[in-house]
Amino acid sequence: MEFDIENLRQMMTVGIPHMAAVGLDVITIDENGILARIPHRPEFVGNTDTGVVHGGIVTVLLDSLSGMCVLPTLAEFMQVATLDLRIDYLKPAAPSQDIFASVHCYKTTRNIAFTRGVAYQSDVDDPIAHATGSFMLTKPGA
Amino acid sequence: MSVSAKNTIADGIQAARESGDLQPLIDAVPYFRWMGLRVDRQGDELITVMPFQEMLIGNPMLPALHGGTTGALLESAAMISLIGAQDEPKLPKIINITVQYLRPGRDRDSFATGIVTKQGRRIASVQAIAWQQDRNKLFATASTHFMVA
Repeated sequence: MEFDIENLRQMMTVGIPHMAAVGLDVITIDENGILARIPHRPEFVGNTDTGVVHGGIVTVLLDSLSGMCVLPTLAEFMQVATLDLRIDYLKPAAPSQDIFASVHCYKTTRNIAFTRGVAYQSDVDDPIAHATGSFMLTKPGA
Repeated sequence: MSVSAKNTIADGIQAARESGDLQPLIDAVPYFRWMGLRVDRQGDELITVMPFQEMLIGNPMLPALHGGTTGALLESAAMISLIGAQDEPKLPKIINITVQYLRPGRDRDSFATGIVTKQGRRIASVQAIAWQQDRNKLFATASTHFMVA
């Protein structure tokens, strides 16, 4: 199935209120995965001692991309519902920097999709967090 | 960061522990304020409340809360309950979280609390649960680890 990437990008960044609220910026999206970022804002800080962004923002970014990266890998449109998402926080985020994430779907079965990805700031090979997710797939109307 | 900013979190935790009211701590965290979180103490239990706002929506069709906001609520509730259970006023650092999504979070207020299942010298384990109208009908749960040393 041909995916309208621009349509998906619009849906993610404008059509979803919480994505619009955090200012999600989708950089690339295709069947190999999604790369996106959340631009830094002072209201995302979790610890004013350090200026580091709250883990919740990292969670929001990884959760969104994990679900969305499944869609371009499917032969037909299916509803994607999160079963679980694990996030390991690998190192503290640097203050006042955008958070990027790169997530891909590494396996789909008839009913389930499995994803993994990382969140990072300056270097994708030195991530601040790692995520693995599993998702239930449902045909529309089923 | 300036010294005064440094005092904000520590003061918030100290004040919270002395008064039993964690709201000053919540107010010292910009992200908690942005999400509109507040804390209600019910007996020994600290309930983290995420009042519904349009901007928390992740699926406008259902409508349902964004899963990331549910994860953020559970992570925040786990941390707040852990601070409430600690002897010393320190901000725990999260190591990992696994969120289980049980059903969609609807467009109404959400509540969450954490149960400290293990308080170690360096590591604490906290289970968190989230519900909306009916506490017996959880919409998500989480298993978390925090560094407390």
